Amino acid sequence: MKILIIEDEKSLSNSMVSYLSNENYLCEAAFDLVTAKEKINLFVYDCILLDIMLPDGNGLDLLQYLKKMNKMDGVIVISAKNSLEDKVLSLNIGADDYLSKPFHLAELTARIQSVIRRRQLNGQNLIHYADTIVDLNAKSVTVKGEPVELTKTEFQLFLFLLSNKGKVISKEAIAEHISGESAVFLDNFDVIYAHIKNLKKKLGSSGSNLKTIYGVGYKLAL
Amino acid sequence: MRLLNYSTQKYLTFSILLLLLSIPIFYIVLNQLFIRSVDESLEQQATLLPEYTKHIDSEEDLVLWKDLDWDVVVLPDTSGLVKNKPYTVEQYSKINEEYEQFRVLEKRVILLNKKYIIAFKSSLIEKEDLIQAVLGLLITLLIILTAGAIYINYYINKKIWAPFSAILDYLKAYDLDKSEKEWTEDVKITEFNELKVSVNHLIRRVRKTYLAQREFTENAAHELQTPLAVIKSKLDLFLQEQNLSEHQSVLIEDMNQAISGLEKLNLNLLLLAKIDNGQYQLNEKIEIAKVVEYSFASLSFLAEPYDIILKFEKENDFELNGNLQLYSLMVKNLLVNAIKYSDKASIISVTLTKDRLIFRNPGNPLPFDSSKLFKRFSKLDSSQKGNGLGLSISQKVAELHCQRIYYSYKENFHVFTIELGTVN
Repeated sequence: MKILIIEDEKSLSNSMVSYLSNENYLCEAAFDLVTAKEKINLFVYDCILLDIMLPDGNGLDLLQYLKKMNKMDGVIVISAKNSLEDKVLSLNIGADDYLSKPFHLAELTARIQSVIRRRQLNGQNLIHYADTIVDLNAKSVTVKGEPVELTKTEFQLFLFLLSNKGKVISKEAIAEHISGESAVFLDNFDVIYAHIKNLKKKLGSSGSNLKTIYGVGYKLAL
Repeated sequence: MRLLNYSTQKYLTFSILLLLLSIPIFYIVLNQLFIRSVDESLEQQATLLPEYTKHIDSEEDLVLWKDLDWDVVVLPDTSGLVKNKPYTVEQYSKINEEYEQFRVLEKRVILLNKKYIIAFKSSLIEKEDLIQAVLGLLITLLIILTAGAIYINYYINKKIWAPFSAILDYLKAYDLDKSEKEWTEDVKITEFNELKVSVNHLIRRVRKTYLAQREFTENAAHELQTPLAVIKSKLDLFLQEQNLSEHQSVLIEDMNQAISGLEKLNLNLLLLAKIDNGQYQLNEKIEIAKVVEYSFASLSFLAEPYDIILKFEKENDFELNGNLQLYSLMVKNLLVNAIKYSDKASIISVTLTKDRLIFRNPGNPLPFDSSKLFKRFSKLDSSQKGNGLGLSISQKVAELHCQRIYYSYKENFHVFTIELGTVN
């Protein structure tokens, strides 16, 4: 999978490249619009991460350009502006998702996978993990062929962990992913522990792959 | 009181006062003038006394003179006291058959070797009539003059203050968010011209400061997002390090929590700044029941693990125009609060009546004064982790929608009530 990261903040760009490269993604970084355009014209990417505020222009202009060139392959707009207008505008132009800074890298990974999955319209909407199968369309989970009843939150949580398997995910990242917009008012992450505990119990043998890392976060073994 | 009414009223009061004061003065002066003229004619008569007495040669002549001239009284000088100056007496007048005032001047004279006092008399009956006539004329004149002056004053004042009213209207209608144009009408009067220049200067400065402040709060909040994103991503990477010790993990967790708090504080401040700056459009249709149901769905993850039950009692539908994003935020915040401060397996109820939205959750009374609840940054107890902005934002959002939000404690329940108002 090839990913283009268009982000002028080199430090952040490096973090993204470093985190995503471990996930078998091939990442390329562009720090301005001109370089980004060159790369887009030369290569095909599975997903493009696009920052709105760039030193030589607005990222949304590039989005328009991509649309004109018919290269809208999984664009996630990233913005320091947490504004509804920008979000609506980006999605209207044709972006697949909108992520506002600051975000957890685990969240970014989950979004990228979701976008790529949606783009691969081969009907393959099953995720296999150990002896567990997740059906994304039916939103159902089976362990060793036996269906498991997960609540909406647990399903969401499991999917998030699967997107980041092999990685340590902090409680904060999980809380933000699950609470979405309500995260602004959330200041206690104990609730995450309760959900993880329930999920672990329900998943049985697969659940034992879910490890707690010293109270800082959780990790689903590869 | 309007400026024009005020000046006219004052003018009127003082005019009437002056008028009332001038009437007795006029009366006294006129009286004096009349008496002086009478006195002068009496004196003149007195100077002619030798002329008269020259012809009196006998007692008969004297009697004849006395009988002929009614204005002269001749009396034998018995007392020897004679007033030098004219004086006023009241006597019965045979002509008018009533008592009337006379002015009298006495002179001592020797006639036929006898001492007499000759008194010259002049009736003052005409005086009253004359003074009345003159006063009447004067008062009429004064009233006409005053009325004219008041009208002129009113007219001039109206003209003078016209630019002032215009500036006032302009200032009243001025909206920092929208208006940019300055006040440009021509003004003749120097002071008003100065006012115009000052007002325009002030508005330019206020607007500049306002825009700068607005821009600053927003920019500062936005600019903070990128370094926060960098730190957050580095911590995420740090967490992936192999062989992380427990001690290191705890350090990362502490940093993660602090960053998370900072991020929320930043978002909340940005939100407040945007609300304060009126940057939210209030033209969306809000169905409160739908907002509550949606909030229940998105917050169920908080209640679920603690077996807390969220109950929605809809007695009525309520729709209003406003900002859906903000309104949902307010409802969610109140709900998060209710869940956060409820024990396991409690029931939280939200009731929508025809004019109220009520959030109820069981719990012990607040350990602090409830008036502090809605204050920004008021840390209520040391165990509280939040930044103390949530309720303040909720109150702001309610105000923005012309609604009121208040807290009460009833029968072991914390109750937050939103008064929805009458706009339906």
